[in-house]
Amino acid sequence: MMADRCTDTRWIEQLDGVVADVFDIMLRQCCEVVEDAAATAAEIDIAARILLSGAIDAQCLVEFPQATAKKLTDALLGAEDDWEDALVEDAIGELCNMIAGEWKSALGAAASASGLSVPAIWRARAPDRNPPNGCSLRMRRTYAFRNSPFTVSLAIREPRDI
Amino acid sequence: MSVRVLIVDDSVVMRRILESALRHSNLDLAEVLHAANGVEGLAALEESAANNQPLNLILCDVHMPEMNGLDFLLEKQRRNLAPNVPLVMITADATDPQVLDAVAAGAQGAISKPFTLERIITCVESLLPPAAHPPSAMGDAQP
Repeated sequence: MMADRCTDTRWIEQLDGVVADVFDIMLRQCCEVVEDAAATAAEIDIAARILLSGAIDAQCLVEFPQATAKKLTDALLGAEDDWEDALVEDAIGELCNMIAGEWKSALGAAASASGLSVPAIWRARAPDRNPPNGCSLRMRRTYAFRNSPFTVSLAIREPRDI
Repeated sequence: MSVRVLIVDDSVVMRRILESALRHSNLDLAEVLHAANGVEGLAALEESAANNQPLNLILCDVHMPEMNGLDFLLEKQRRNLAPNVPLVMITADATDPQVLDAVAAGAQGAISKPFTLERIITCVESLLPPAAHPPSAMGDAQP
């Protein structure tokens, strides 16, 4: 049976640390956890998903409102502009890639035999938000970057050995 | 010594970030070429060889559609393209066995994403001869 919400603080702290590290290292920007219900329910315009498959099966999904996605693209490219949609989607895919890669590294040797997919991108809410079959652990966290929210979701199958 | 660099990455954003890092370094950059996958990367190498415009450095993503970074490296070697040009793998998955395979096959290094600008600059400057980054400019980078 799938858990709707992960209560294991180890997993949550690990994800929070990974997201903070990615923003700190790559962008030198602070990214904070948001508990505010309005922010966590922010509308989703762009989503990216990466699958981890092999010894461990998991899914990493990032979901962005357009305004946050634009700010992320500005930050990654070091300039403010009216970026083309494809470039904004590319930026979201790269962020998802880095979060998934850092998270996989944080899992240690148990995950090293698993591979990451290339990012899949959706406009509007991801049509396939369902994690791989058998995922027994799910968590969804909302963060704020430059006062704009976005969410990161992880779903993991059989994480007991990690 | 002017430096020509090839960046092979399916992400336009990542190619721009890497080019920006190079432009913040002390390298005397003549040209930065972009390729979206290994196939385009090989074509760029062929064209550079045909035009007698040798490259000095290659930065290459590992995971790409069409042809990934490891296959690009192996095919580059099979065709004897840019044989002595340093190649650095860029990856978001530091534990990917393909990264180790690439280093074993001749890649001079690997850089994990996320990275700092300084990490890229330090790596590429260490792989190029002193003439590519004049001593008078050493340490002046302002990312």
